[in-house]
Amino acid sequence: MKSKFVVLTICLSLAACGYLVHSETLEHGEVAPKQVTLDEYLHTIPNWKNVQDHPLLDVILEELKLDDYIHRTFTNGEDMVRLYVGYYYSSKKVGAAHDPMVCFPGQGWEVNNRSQGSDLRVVGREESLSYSTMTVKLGETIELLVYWFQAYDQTTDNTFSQKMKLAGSKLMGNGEDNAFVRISMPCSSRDLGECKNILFDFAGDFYPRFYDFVTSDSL
Amino acid sequence: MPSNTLSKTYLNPTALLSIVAIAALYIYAFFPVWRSLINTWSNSEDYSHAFFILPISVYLIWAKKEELAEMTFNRSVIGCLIVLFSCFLYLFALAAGVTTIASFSAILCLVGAFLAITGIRVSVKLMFPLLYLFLMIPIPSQLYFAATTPLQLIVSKVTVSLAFLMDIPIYREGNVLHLPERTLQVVAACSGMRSLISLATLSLLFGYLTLKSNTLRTILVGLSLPVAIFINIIRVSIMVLGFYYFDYDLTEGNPHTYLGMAVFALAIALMLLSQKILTRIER
Repeated sequence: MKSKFVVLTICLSLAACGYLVHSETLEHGEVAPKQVTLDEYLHTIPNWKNVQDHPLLDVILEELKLDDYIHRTFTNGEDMVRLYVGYYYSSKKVGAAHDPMVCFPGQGWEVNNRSQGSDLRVVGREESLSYSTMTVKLGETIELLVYWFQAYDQTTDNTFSQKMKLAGSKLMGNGEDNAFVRISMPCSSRDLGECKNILFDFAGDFYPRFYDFVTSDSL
Repeated sequence: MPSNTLSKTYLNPTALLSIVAIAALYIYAFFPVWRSLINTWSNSEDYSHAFFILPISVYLIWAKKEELAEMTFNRSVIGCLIVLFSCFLYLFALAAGVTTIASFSAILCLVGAFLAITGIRVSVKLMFPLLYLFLMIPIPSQLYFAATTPLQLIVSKVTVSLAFLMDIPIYREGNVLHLPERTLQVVAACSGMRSLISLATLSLLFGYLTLKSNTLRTILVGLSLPVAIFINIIRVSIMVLGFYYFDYDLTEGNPHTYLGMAVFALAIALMLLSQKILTRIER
């Protein structure tokens, strides 16, 4: 009797599981790309003007398998800030390819002053952004980076958390858009706190527009 | 002889049919996971050894056939619950798009089904070969890179220190090593992570087969980390020496492959030596 129960339970579990797997119940379908590119949508950021675009090499685009990206320098008339966003339409491409701890040492940069925070406030948003920050040094050049991983409508300071948040978003039937966002500026001859404030100011102007791009279904 | 031994339990038409049905339904349900796993193993130099894990587990179980022939086989409801749980986990993983959890659920289901069909006593006896199957699951990239980055830095820093001792003019920026006329980048593949994964998998098997103490087995597995780092320092140092003294490029092509094979053979030798020492300690 027990044998029949065990065999029947296993068979029914596997059969039901197999049916759901092979049916369209769990399929989300292909994610449609947006009609507008990041470049077009973020062409203007309040209080900041475009200075220069920095196109990525084809080999890098191929390696990162980006669906969209923007790599541009902005200025507010006094300071220059560089923005990089590596964007993906689906959660299948979430990975650690963008982690600065992977990229920067590999190009010779020395990484220092690493920290995480969640006090990046943005006007119009209830929640503060979670981010990571660090300085990178190459020769005499020092840059301050503020970066985060966008998991649809949430931010996080590491890729693992991004993966988990995206899984939750997908389960709730929300979008799968995800991105790596990095804001940086030279800080060789300035106080780090001052540089951080400038990057925070930029993030405050940039994020509402970026958030709309990520979460909009009509773009 | 106990009434429900191996032969009496399974070598009858009904039991065989049940096993075939379970196997067929398992393949039906988990085929996408195995296809994805095999694809990963085929395309990754880090996990090409994973093809051997299932045959090794099967061999380890077969090697105990005489002991198993004397044991009592039962059914286990706990095994059924594990199968049920793994199916739910699998569906969750598919809905959430988390491949690692899907792979984990596939193997958990296999283990659960084995437990359900053979019972707790037999499964405990075969715990190692069953748990060894979980090594087929690739490490998530987030964890992989989190581990690789510090290993790369260690290899870079120690290589530079050794080069200084040999009076080689060398300068390090991050993981980039600058020689007078060459630049060498210590990439993720040189971090030792690949060696570590293979050595840890092997040392688990060595420990199981040759040592009895779980403490000594743990020490043997733990030694795979310093050995992996050590052999990669050796490998990168040889590349630096090759560049500086002989203007010879060992970073690509056949020389690179042969060098990799040679240092991995050294790693195996070091692990075997460690195992021999631990065996003596155990006596």
